[in-house]
This record gives sequence, structure tokens and C-alpha cells, in this order.
Amino acid sequence: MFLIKIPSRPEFVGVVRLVIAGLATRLNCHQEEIEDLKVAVAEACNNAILEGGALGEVLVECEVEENKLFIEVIDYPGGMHRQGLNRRSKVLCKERKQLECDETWLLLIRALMDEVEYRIERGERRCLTMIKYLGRHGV
Amino acid sequence: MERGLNMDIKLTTRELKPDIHLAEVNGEIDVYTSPKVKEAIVGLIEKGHYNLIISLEGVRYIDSTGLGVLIGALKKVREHNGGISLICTNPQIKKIFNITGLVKIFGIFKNEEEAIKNLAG
Repeated sequence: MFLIKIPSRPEFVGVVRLVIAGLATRLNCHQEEIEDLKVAVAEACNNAILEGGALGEVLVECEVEENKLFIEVIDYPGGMHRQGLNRRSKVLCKERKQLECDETWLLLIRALMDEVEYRIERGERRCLTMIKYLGRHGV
Repeated sequence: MERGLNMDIKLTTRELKPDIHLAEVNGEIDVYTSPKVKEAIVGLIEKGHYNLIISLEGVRYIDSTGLGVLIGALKKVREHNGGISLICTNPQIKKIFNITGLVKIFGIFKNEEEAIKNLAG
């Protein structure tokens, strides 16, 4: 199990990309797979941050099982102790609307990963699970 | 030593022809940097430059927020009968445009000459 925890703020998504790229390199992923993973995980983090607000944290859990890389991106809208959206999160939602990127993020994730599941769990914990089959390149 | 967060994006603009401007983007266009890119491109449009070439040759990464900025800019220039051509040869960036279908909406070219030709035509 590999766990990354970042504040729910846009400036830290780049940190997640770097860590994911490092992990994928360690797993001997092909360069294209590394780039795909970076985009997919970052898009999931973007969504967690833009929809969830700036109160909480975003967790990225990675696990390798046989030839599969499991990645879960988990967030708590409004933070773990939800008290409504604060001013910062409202600003982020407005920016997102202006940027007109709604749903494109999920389209990208579905295209780049082999399996994707998005669920809202009890307590409003949101969890996006992605699976990438490893070792497909060069076979 | 500066310890602030590094905003890994640079955007420079120049006039290629009297009615065509080039914006060269360098760095990573993501959820953090895309507002900066948007500000620069919207600034060009507000100055009345409605035919734009945006070079993504120096872009190492783009996400859906970056695509959103480009789509928003395209909508704005089209309101003034303008257009946007993109220069991009990075296969990973082109892949993102292909997946989202935006390759059909933007003209994506290998170099300035082709991009100018598309806007002029």
C-alpha cells in the first residue's frame, strides 16, 4: 500500500503527479503508461478539490496486485467535519464552471484507465477507484 | 532562496501578422496554472485580437481545466468571427485532444506556417 495525502488545494495536484510518475517508473511502466496515469490521477484529484472544497484533504491510495495497479482517490466534500462550503470552495466551484471542464475529467479517466468506478459512500466520502493493467506495452 | 510555490507556466505573445497573434505556452497547464493561461489569452482577446495561434510546443502536460480554457477562448473569438489554431506535436498532448474529440474542433498543426495558412484560409 502506498498512500499520498495532500491538502485539498490546486497547487498540490502537481505533487501527486510527480509521485505517481515516480511510482509508475519504479513499476517499470512504459512512458505512455506513466503519462496516462499522471493525467488520470490528476483529473481525479482535480475533481475532488474542485467539487469538494478546500476544507479537507485528498487521499490517493495505490496498491499493486499481480499485474494490476489499483489507485483510489478519496475525498470528503467540505472536509471530514462538514460545516458547509466555505468561501474558498465557492470560489473554486465558480472557477470550474467558468473553465467549462465538467465531465471531461471523467471521460479522460475512463479512456486512460482500464477500469473505473466512482461512488459516494456513507458520510459523503467520495471515492474514485481506477485500475491500470500493467505490462501491456511491448508484449 | 525563494520558497514560494512554483507556478510552472510561462506565456509569451507576439504579433505574427497584423491580424494574427501567437501565444506560446511553456510549462504544465493544470488546475493550478490554467487560470493564469486563461487570463493571458482573454487579455489578448479583449485587446481585439480574434485570430490566435496558440503554440503548445512547450507544454509538457495539459488537463481538462486547460482544455476548458482553450474551449472558452475559442467561443469568445468565434463571437467576433475569429479563430484559434493550435501548434502541437507532442503525442501525449495530442492524445488528450483526440480522446476528448477536440481535435475536430481546433485546427492542430505542426508549425506556424500551417497554422497561419489555416487562419488566413
